[in-house]
Amino acid sequence: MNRLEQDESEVLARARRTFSPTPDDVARVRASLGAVLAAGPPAAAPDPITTATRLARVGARLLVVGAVAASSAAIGYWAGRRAAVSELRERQATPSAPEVNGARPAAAAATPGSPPAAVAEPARTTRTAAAAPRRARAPGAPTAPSPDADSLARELEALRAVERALRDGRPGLALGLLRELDRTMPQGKLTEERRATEAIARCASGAVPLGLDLADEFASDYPHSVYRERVTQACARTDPGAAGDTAGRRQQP
Amino acid sequence: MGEVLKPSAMPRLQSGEPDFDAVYGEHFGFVWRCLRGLGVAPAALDDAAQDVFLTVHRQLSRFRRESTLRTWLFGIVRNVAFRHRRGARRKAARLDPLEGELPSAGPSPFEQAADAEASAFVTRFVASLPPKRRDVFVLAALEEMSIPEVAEILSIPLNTAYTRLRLARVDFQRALARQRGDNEST
Repeated sequence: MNRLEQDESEVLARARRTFSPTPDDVARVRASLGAVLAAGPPAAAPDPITTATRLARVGARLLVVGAVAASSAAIGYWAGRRAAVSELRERQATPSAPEVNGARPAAAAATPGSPPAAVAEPARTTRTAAAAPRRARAPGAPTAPSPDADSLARELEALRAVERALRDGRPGLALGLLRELDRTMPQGKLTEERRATEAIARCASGAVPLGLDLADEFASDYPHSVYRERVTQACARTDPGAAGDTAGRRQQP
Repeated sequence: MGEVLKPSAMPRLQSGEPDFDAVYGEHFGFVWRCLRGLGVAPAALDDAAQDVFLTVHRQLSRFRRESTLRTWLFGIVRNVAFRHRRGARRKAARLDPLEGELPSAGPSPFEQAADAEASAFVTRFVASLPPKRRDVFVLAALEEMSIPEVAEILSIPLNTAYTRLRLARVDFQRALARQRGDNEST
């Protein structure tokens, strides 16, 4: 083994050692996971694997449906056209064929190149349906809640659970619930509330440097927030160098 | 942080299906190291590992034995790591000060420094690899899996796995030689 290979295996061995979890890591994640599972997620979350699979399945179904519809239309058009042509030929062969009550059969009126009435029928039906006036909603009829209002209510409920966990002195649970909320509703409306509670929970959980960073960032992004004072106080209580400025705190060993 | 994993939170699994506790105990290290190897920052590892095991918890009863448990887990790990890396870019500014490995009580200062240096070097190197080569390198070089096992987990032909690992190792040795040259010149 040359020196480079020795170096390679030594570097990899050291990396393996530092990449491995400590017993504390195992216990910490397990505790936080248990708390989240016991509290129950705010909403059924899409799983990374199944989401892609489901999308692929939906896409495949749409393709199949589209192909079947296109084939049916083509077959219908072809069959109708054949019927029209053969009927026209029959009429040409027997010019004295009587008309029933003076009405000409529809197929006879069609030119050989145009699609038969049977094929054109659905299109007429569609136009008729489109032309029909829309039914007006009865005044006072109950309206379904909009998806926006529904998701806001769920987001609010989840944030209340986070707030309860913080009040109960369970910042690990609060962080777990926030992570779950970020995962299930990444485009929520209550961003300010989420960020405030995350900073408070981080500081309360003992991750003070990160909590302070989040608190500073929150203060600069929301200088007039009603939560600003609470965030600052929550992090100041846990910060060992609370008297100093932020830059000074970050330089501490 | 006194919460424990409550038995009531665990699904009742039919006999023969893997038990969540057992999966957690046996594979936590694998999940954690793979997340780390696939570029999840140390500060985000707790979140990422929790995401992986939440997915495992939800999906375990539906796990079909068409693949090995590790293959299935690595698929989840890869997706979660991708999401966290993407999220980390957004938060990079505020997480940068915490990126370094925090020294722990135990090894000597020299050992700690060498470990931190090796860890940072491997993290940088792995991040620079193309994704396909990165997966093979993480599983073979860091997880020390056999190449047939790596090929099975990634669902790639055996020869492809060998080729990707060989190329990744050439890149690794080059990067190492460059770093050694840099260190000796300073």
